[in-house]
Amino acid sequence: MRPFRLADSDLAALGAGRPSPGTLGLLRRARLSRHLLLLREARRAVPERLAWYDDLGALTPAAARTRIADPLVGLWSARVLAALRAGPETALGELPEPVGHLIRVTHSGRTLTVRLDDRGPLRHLLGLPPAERLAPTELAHWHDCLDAAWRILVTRHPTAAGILDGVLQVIVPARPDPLAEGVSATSAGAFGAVAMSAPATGTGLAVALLHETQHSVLNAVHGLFELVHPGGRLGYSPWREDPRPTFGVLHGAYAFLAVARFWRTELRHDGATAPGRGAAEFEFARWRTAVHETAGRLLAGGELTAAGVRLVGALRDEVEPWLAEPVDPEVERLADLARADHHARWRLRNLTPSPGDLTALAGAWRAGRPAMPVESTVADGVRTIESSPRLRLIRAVLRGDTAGAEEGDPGDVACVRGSRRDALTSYQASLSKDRAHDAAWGGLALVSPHPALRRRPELVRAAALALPEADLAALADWLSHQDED
Amino acid sequence: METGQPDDGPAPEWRSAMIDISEFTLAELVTHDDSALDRCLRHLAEDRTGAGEQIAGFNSAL
Repeated sequence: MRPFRLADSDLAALGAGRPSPGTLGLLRRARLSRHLLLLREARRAVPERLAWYDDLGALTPAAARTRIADPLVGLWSARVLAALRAGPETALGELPEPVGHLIRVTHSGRTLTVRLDDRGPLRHLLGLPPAERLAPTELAHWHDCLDAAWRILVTRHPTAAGILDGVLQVIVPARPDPLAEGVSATSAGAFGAVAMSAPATGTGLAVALLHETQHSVLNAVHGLFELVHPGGRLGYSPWREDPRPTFGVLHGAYAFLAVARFWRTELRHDGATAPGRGAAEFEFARWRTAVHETAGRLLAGGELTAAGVRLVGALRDEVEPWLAEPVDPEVERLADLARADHHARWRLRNLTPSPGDLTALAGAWRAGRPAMPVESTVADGVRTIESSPRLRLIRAVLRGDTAGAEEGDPGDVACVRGSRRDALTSYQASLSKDRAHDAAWGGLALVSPHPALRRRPELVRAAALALPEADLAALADWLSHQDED
Repeated sequence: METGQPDDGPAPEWRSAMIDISEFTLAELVTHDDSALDRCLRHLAEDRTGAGEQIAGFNSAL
């Protein structure tokens, strides 16, 4: 029995999202070791005979390893951990059988085998409501999409295909979310399993699988080398609506590294005039910057361990050269707008100054004194999925849907078109009628000349609501001279 | 689990607190008393970084 060891260069390659087959093999052994350790504990905790243990003992050693390494056994064994943490009352039940439909797809001599689990009793533990058993037409759709996704990956993303093949074992079909075009999820307890709603296209499935595989890889790495210190503050994640712990922010950066790389590679293969190039450029431009900025914040935040610093440093180094790669300037503008829009909406939704500070601020305004420094604090919120009206317009522009790009709030339409002055006038008019108009605050934060509105819209909104007599522009200017939080 | 530290030297290496038992059978491990296994189990149980939660990941509406 030896400790797992990883060469520094291999940890750096993991951070860059390019683990070698040898490193993936090590992660699989680590996961098998984890499952074995937890099953050992489950067996030793109970004196009487256990059917699942006897069943495993009846298998050949190789067959038993395959069974124990199954991601759904990982979910089952996570209950052992829950019992260790919360007390021995947790009922473990029987070890889950590998059930569902085995799908094999082959291209250029490379085969991907995945089990589509539409009936396992633990599949809901992956984090999304599972779909009902698949009808034959639904199963055929999954097969077709997986076939198309595998063809794309093998043909144009062979390294990513290798990572997917080395990690992915199980897909759990999930119910669609009415607010999203597609959702997917992973669990730390189930290395190699993904829950996802039915894909629309092979491309969509390929991106989602690469994204989720990154979560599995990161969870396995964290199981060997703690990447973040416990505790810490909740913070901003460019791909979530809610405040996230540091490890969650790292998960997002790592997953979207693969997404950015996918679109970067697609752009290189598609050529300059291919249909959909604008959308691909948008995804690449949006996520390369978000990943780079997030990695920088993680490195500066002081909440990463030494291994975490090494991994995130390599992640940032990987994406940094991509920032200089040319993208259509108009698409770049829209990508910047989408990121700024997400950040402004996140701040408006999740940050707020304290009531006491707000009262003091209102007193200073009324007394004609300068604004004092006021902090905004993060509230621990419930995860929500909220689509942005401006992002909808941006996607219409990228599709070339000129009619769709004009359907919406006049301020949003002007904002997306790049008519800053028109957008500003429209948002100000909306807020003069109703200061609680959240969508207008989000838009105003994108086009206002006042730094306070661009950087801390939640503070200006709170102050404006506390001071209904104050002129908005004057208030925003006054707060712009306040020290930063 | 426990953060490994790179050794000094020309080929630095990260050493995990977790041990590789992937070549053992479950029956061998069940009958084997080893404090190293117990330490690994404690490390797993003590992880408080929030790593255990599901990651509701990709949402194409974002």
